[in-house]
Amino acid sequence: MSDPKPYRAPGFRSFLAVMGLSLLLGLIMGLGSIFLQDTALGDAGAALVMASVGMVGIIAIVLLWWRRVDEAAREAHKWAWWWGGSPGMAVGGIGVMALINGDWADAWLAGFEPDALVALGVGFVLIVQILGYTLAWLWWWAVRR
Amino acid sequence: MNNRLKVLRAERDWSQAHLAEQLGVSRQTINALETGRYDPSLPLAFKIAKLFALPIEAIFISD
Repeated sequence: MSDPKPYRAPGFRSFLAVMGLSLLLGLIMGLGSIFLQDTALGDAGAALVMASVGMVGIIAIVLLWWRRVDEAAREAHKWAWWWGGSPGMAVGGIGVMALINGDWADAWLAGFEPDALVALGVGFVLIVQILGYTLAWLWWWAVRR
Repeated sequence: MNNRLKVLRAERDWSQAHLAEQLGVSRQTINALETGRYDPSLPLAFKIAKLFALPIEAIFISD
């Protein structure tokens, strides 16, 4: 029986490959939306179809990455999701609540259409969540160096 | 949990990268293990024990 192939942790090239695949997926989603919105699906249908395609694609990319990394790297991601992503979501949620309930931003928010307001709220929470996730991930590795 | 990984590796004159390759993990993981800031999974602990031909309790010491 031959020895198993030596393990090589994903490096910068793998990271670039993941980013490239994600960009390609984004391009497919964008072009697909443009193409489909003129069909019977309409704007909403095209967005739904391409968002589904995007989700399947992202899951596939994440699975590829997950299979490449070792157990400590997986632990870092799980830890960061719980201790960074969850508080980030809470902080983002508080920010949205402050925007909704405070009158200090009313003049600014009045300039948005309702669907843009929803996207703004979701986007804001997502950005804070990703920020929390990234900080927690960096912290996990920093204390284990 | 403490461990004797660094000592065992040094006795064999192995680099962290070499040990990482033997165990199928990254060098960063070996570093985290050696500094005692990351406890391995049971499968990895068994793999380490097998590689050094020692019982797990001879490598990992409970605090």
